[in-house]
Amino acid sequence: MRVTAVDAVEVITPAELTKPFLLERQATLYQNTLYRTYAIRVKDGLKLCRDAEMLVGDSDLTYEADIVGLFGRFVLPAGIDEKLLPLDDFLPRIDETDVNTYLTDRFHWNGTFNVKRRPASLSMVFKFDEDRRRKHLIRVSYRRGCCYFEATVADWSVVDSFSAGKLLRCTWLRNRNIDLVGFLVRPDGCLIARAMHPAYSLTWEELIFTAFVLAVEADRMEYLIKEEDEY
Amino acid sequence: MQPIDLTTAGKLLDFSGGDSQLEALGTLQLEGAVALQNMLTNPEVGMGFLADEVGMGKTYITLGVVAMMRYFNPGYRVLYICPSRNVQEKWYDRELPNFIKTNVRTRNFRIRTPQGESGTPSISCSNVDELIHAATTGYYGDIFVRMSSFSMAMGEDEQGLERHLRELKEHVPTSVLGTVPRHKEEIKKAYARALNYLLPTFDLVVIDEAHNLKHPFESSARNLALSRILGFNQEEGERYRKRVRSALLLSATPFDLNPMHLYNQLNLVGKPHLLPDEEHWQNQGRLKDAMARFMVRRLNELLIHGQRHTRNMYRREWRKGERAEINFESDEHKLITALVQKHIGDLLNKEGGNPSFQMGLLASFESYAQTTQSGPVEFDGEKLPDSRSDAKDRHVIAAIRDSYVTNERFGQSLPHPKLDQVSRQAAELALPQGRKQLIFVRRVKSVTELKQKLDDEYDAWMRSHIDNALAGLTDQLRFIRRVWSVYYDARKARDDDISGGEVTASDGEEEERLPPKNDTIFNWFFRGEMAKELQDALVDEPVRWPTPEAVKKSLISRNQANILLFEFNWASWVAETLFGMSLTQLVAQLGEHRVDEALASSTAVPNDDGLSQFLAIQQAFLQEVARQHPEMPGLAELPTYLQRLVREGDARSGDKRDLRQTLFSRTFFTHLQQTGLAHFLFASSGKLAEAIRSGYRNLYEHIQRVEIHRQLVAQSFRSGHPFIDLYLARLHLGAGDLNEGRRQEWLQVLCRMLDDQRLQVGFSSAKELVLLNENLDLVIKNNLPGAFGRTQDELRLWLNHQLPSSAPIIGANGETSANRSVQARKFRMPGYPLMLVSTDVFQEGEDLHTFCDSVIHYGLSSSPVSIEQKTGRVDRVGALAHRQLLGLEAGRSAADDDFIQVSFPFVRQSIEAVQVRALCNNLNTFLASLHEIGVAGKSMDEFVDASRELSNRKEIPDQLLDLLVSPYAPPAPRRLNRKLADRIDRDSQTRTEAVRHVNAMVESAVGARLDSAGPVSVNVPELQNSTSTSAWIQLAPVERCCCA
Repeated sequence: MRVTAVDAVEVITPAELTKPFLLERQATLYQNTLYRTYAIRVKDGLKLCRDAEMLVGDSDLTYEADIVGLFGRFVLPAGIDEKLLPLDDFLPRIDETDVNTYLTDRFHWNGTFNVKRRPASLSMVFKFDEDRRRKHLIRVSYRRGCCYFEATVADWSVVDSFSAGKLLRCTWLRNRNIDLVGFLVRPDGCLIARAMHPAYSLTWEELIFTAFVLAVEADRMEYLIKEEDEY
Repeated sequence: MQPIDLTTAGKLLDFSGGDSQLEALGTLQLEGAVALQNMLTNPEVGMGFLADEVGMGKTYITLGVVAMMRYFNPGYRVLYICPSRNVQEKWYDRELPNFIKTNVRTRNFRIRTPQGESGTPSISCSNVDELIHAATTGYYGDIFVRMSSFSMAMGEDEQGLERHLRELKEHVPTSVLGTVPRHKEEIKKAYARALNYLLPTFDLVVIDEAHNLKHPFESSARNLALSRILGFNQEEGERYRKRVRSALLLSATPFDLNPMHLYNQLNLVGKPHLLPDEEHWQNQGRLKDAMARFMVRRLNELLIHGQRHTRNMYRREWRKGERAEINFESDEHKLITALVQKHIGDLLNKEGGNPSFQMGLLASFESYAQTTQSGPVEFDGEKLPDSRSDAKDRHVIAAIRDSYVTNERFGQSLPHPKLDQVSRQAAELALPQGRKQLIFVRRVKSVTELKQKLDDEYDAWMRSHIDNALAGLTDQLRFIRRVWSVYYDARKARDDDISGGEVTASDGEEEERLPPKNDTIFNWFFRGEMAKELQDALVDEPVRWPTPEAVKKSLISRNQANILLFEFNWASWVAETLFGMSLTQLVAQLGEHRVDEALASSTAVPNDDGLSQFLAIQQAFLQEVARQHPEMPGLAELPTYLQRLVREGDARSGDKRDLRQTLFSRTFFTHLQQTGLAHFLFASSGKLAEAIRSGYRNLYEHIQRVEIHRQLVAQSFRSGHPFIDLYLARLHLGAGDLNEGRRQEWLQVLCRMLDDQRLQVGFSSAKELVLLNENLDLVIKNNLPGAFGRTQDELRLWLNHQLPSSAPIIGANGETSANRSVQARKFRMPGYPLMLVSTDVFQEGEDLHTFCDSVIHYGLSSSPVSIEQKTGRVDRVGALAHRQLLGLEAGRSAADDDFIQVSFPFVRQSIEAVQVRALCNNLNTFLASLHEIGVAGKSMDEFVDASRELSNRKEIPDQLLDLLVSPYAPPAPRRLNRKLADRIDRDSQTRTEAVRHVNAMVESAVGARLDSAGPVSVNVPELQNSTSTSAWIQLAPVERCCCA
């Protein structure tokens, strides 16, 4: 289960919806926010909503501080707490075999999972399908109190070829129809997908689940954009 | 995925929905769902064919199978392919939400949220573009499409084709499409290739009415597109991805003797290997064994007085005798029939060879209205090839008709004995006997012709009703006669619109703005705006009688006292029902001073808004009652409920007498209560009273149920047949304006009329309200499943939108497709429309059974499959006939009229008789051999060999009445799968605990509740730079990811 807190922030008119505007706006959101942004088509344009989400569960999983922190993501002051924490401070131990078993039991998947751990970041690779035709790489790090998951979907040259409409469909409009994961374009022009969870209450299951959802969504988007599997 | 057993499945699903009458059927449905789940999880099979008889709830069983699969694999994706738009709407808008809310036991977010909503996101797509959009812009566990969603309409012009291609390229990587020539067929192929690429791989494809796909891929553009999109068409030079892992096909009529039909359906979903090779199809045993691995077919049974009745036994088919054969009323009828038959016989013989005609496709069977100027005769059915879309006898009929009407001037039209008699009989059944009629025709124009005849019958019946209601009131009768006279003039120029002037509601206010339509007196005079010609005619009337339009407006104008007529006085109800005293006594008991204070502090409302003032005062009073009676905590929910209905403003009356008077307002429902009629017409508040007395809280649904009932009653009095009686009651009072006393008199007259009608046979306002009262839950479930999800303030407009004003008789053909779901929904209500005349557009999928048990096959379909599908519209779970048969009093055996009525009217002295005999033979063969497979390539004969049949002296065969048994009813596994059962128990426990915990955490952290119906203001003081925001907070499912 997840708790989701959503509020509408503004309406963007059709005239404003140019590609440079979208790129600039998303670059800012990438740097300054820890929530998902999605858009709903309304009569006079696009209504932009901010959506802070997190997985929740029983008393072993969810604490009151997590809920407070969820709303805190709406007003995150820029520039604080940017230091990198060693992952060992908050990440649970990950055993590849355990993860494979969990995903098979829970999601009937037939793929394989690999993990590579460094002091300040963690890479996970999910290989989908029986014949491992597709895969996706997830990077995990610490960011402003959250365990931060990110996956690259397409590089700047691909994004460069997008129309404004397609860019919108691949980011804000898509975010409306999915959970936990937010697509947006990074300041360097790459299309990425990301997710977050409070770092200090992150359990093993929440870590794997969030990474898996992100990998699935990012890989699906990559497939829709270009046939070959790069990331 | 493991196979499930019956006990474990029962932990997840309850097909009876808590209704004890549905327990036996619910068990049958659960057994079917479990059997199919086992077939789908068997890696050697991976598909199921649900071929239960029509109306046994195949939709629900399918949703049950999906729910079970999804419980253990939340990422389970399903593509539902429906045969038509109305069936798609039925699945998506009605059955899915109903099933999730009513039949799913677990509430732990896996398949159902605690609020009764689906835990899986779903979408319904109308066309290819929407499907592409759905595939590329998000995650949907369930995608609903219809067959026509795969038909791509595009012209031949190059610019248009270029545009299509450009749009497509926006969504698909360039490498997928390659170079596409600017040719229509190539672009359609590119679309199919694109969809095959873009769609995710579905765990399951559900194809409803799969028999529509019984022909090979190449037989139609639709089949070809579908085979490519699903990925099982391995045509040369193309590599499609297989997009479905398993399949569930649904059809009550999967084939008629020909196994090739079944093979083609299996081939479309990649499962042809489940049938033996074609050379072994002659081997019945082998074929049956193969089919038993994937087919589930059960027969519906009703246990009537302990006797098992299969479907054929509880239907009465009128194939011959006085209820089927048309009597000639005059020598003219005889002569015309003889002349027509002579010419048709000559025509068929003149063709040489073997004179034959396709069943149902002679125009003369249905009408003699064809002229030599008319174009080809159009019959229903997209399946008819162009070469057959005309009637062989068209020119013969046209020549006779023109000779009769134009040359000889014998009359305005050539009398058609069957058309005349059937319309009279149907009207007799629907109106004086109160039995809704569903009439199927083949010829498209017959819908209009039959409807016009039925309209005339309705008018005659209505005239008699009005005369009776106003008997003795000379002035009123004179006025009404004037109205009739103008109407008859207007009716001479009636148009061919068959819809009855219905509109698809857009904002829910149509009932007040409907223009007059001259097909029936109801549509012209009572239903909407005043006809211009009537306004002109009444200018010189010495007395200004209130018009229906004015009365109707007064019922919805907030500044008129009539708006309260159909409001519910909660204060009176609370006093009488919960405290067993009058409102006056309750006020005294509470303390008059306190009550006056409470009323004085009621919410201020806008000026001239009588409705808000009434509601605000009710709310204030109920708050006071709740405050003084904490032993009934549920009472406090009544004012909370009303709060949302009150419009706020600046006006507040300070006059105690005014406030009291408003509190004591007597409405229609007060009169029902006092005359004892409430028990028959408005008993829905009983459950609410019981819940409040028992000390329950959370009574929103109980209150909403009463409000829905009230709204439906009020809506009937605004726009249905009851409005006529309301208006006639108003005429009783004379032409002058009404004061409060006269208004009460109006309601008394109305209640007397209803009381009289209640004891009479036939359709009436009282009968409509009684049926609604007795079947309220069924009406909500079948027609208004979203009603409980509406907030109280949006309910009225939503109901207007769902049930816009209707007409007494409506018609349906290919041109009325936009309104089909609304037409069906209205027909499932107890009031108008009372008769529905339709081509085969209502043959499949749509339920018409709630208040109808009679089908007339006026035009005959060529195959028993079509006849079975059409009759099946009224033979479904919870059908009127089922309810009546199961509710028969002990000791009274079922009579012919108690069964479902199916008639095949025909003129005995015509070639139509041999057609009926041929069809009935086919029907019997079909029924007897339903579970047998015939010779490969053999189908039921659609053609009638006239020379052979005319020399055949045999009688029309009787209906088969033997108890039927199906060989495809696999026993459901009963051995408990402990692992699955434990998992469900463990899940339920941990999820319940988690929901409770998270709720508490959120409430404690930010002071908001997760189930709030709107955004909540959140303050988080612990945060640095304390924040305040207005946000929606929800607990939602998340287990819906799956591999790309």
